[in-house]
Amino acid sequence: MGGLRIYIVVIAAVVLSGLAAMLPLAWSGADVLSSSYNEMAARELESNARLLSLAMPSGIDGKTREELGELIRAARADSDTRYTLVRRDGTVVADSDEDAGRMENHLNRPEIKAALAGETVVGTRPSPTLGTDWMYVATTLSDGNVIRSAASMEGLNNRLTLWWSKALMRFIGSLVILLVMALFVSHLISKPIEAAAAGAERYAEGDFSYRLPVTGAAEMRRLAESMGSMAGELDARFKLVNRQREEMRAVFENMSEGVLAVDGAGRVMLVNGAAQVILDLPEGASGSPIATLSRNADLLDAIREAESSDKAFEREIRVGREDGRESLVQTHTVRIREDGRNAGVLVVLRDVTRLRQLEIMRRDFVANVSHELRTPITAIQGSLETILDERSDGAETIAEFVEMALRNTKRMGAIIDNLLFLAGMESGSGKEAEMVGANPVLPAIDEAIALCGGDARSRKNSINADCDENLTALMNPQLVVHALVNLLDNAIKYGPEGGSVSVTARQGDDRVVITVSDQGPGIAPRHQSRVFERFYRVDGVPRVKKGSGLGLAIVKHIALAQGGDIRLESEIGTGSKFILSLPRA
Amino acid sequence: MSIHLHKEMENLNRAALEMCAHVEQNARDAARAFLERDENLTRKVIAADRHVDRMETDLAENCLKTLALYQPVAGDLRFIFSLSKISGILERIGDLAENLARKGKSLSRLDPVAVPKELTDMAERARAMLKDGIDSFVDRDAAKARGVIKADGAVNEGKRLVRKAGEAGIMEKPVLCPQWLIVIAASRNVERMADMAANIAAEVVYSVEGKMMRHGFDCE
Repeated sequence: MGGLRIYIVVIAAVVLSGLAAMLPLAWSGADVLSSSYNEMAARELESNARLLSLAMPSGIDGKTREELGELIRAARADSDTRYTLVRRDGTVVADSDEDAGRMENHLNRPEIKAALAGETVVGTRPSPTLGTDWMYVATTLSDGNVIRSAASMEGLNNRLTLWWSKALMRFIGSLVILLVMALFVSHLISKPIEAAAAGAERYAEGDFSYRLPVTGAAEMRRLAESMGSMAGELDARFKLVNRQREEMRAVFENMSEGVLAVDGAGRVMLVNGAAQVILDLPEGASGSPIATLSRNADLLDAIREAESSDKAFEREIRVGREDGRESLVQTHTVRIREDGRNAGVLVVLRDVTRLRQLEIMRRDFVANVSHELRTPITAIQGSLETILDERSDGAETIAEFVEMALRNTKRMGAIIDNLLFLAGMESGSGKEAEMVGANPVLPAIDEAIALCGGDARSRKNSINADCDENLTALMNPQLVVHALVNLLDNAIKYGPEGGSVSVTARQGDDRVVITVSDQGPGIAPRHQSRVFERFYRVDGVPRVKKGSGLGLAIVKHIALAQGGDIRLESEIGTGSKFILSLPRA
Repeated sequence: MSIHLHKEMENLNRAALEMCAHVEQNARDAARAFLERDENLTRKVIAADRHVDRMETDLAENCLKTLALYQPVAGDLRFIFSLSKISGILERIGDLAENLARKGKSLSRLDPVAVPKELTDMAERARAMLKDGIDSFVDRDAAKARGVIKADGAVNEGKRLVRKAGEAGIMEKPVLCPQWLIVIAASRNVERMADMAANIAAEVVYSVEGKMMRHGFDCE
């Protein structure tokens, strides 16, 4: 965390300020104590010296050392004062504590010098003989010799020690009080700060409902209040941002166009659900290189292409799936620029499989219908022109051409009838559907086979029917016969001469399934879904017989009109199976 | 690893993945073009193979450049070494795909004949092998790569079955002989593609584990 804790700072401040307040006080007290002690001690020494000098009114001259020694030792007796008698020349005559004979000349001592000069000076210094600090005062006797009194300063030292130790004890006593107060104050300051920090941490975690308690000092109340309002404001803004983001995400996820963004290194930055479905990407694609996720060469090319230019590109790519189906996807790619740098590519994808199928269907329909109608008209026109040119020729030739014109007129009529029939079914007038009822299947099959009998015989085909007599389906028998005739017609037309066609009807779970199988050349898978379109022709298959091109379209519409369905199973070289299913009765 | 080498490796990897995508798609399209005699698709396959060839030369050159400029070692070196070989193999698969598509074109000029189920199955197996081989390369998955190498046997067996079916077909209807010859040639083509997929897998094992797996030896 770094930095000092508040209570340490407060305690240090209080202790230092306590010291700062008390130390000078104690100091000056000690000063006063020692100066007043010194003054009193000096005065006492001086008066003691004077008193003793009165005991020697004639001075010391003429008295023996022994006499003098006895005198001052008697004066010393039970007092604290030491006495020394010194001659004018500085020699020590007698001393109350020491052997005077061994003491050096005292002429240089300041107090003696001062006394000889008629002054009184107090000297304090360590005694060379006794070691401790001593105070000396000297005064002259009547004969001009000097008496010196001295006292040990030990008393002062003891007193000062006592003074300091008492001051220290009391300081420690008050320090305890100061510490308690410091702790209390620091607690008072730090507790709301800790609470505010904890609150801020909760806000950081996103818990904006928390409010700091508004208590304590005015500043702390203000902090708590402003933090509370800050949390409220943040909460509102976060909610707004979140809602906007959720909205954006919902739009992004639910749009039908796929959106995919890859960065400069080809990694997926952003992908929505539609893009995942369209490109068959695994979950959690974000962050992985797109080339590892999708091995769609067209897509990777499209991204590369967009990376190298500022233009927007549009392409149509094929996307293969695991099940072998392929869809057509339109891609719009554009480079993403960020601060003038290439930041990746944005791809917008749209599945246009169905759209393209419908477009192709419509285009082919227009082309085919015009072709189918144009052919008979050309034939009719040709016949009529011939008749016009060859009027003079025999009636036989004319009749031949009239017949040709008639045949083609019928053919055109048949095509238009079929178209009208389909249009009628499609417009949903519902007449056919209304006539749906529970009917036996076998008679319808028999009727269809009978109707196709002529064609079958001419191509030496055999038609086998396999159907239970009691099998019934919900159907309009006329429509089913129509559908079966169309299917059988195709089977005979495209099957080999002398081949066989089989019609089987079976009861399924909830359907009746009628299958028409032939031994024809089969239909390639890419045509299979399209043979039920109007006028659709499988290329490469010779037009053995001119059909209207509407047969299978009609079959499909008949099946759908009755709530049924038609399916094709075919393999090149082995033949085709048309499977008509109808609801069971 | 230096930042430049890292970036260069990423670029190489990306280019390789793109090439994989093209080759896989091309192989798939070629099989479809053959099985369904789709001439449009055949043309597309032929055009796409040129693109693959160009990618191969670019990739091989970039591999060399990276080797020369950055002198990678250990795993990186093995990766680049394998990459330059894999790109060659991929190019071969592209050529085989083109061949296969062209065979479909010749077949569509003749009377239609049923493509034996054995060939369809075999093509599907080879496609799966190629996909898994490329997957193992993409994911650096040595275990998967070993699976691909093992699967090669089934495709070889498929080729034998197609030949047997062809022989029987010709005996039965000698008129269809040209078609059957094309079908048998196509099966050889598919079998070669599967071999190439196994070669890719062997390179992946080398690149990941540092073990040589070629020619069927597992140097364990």
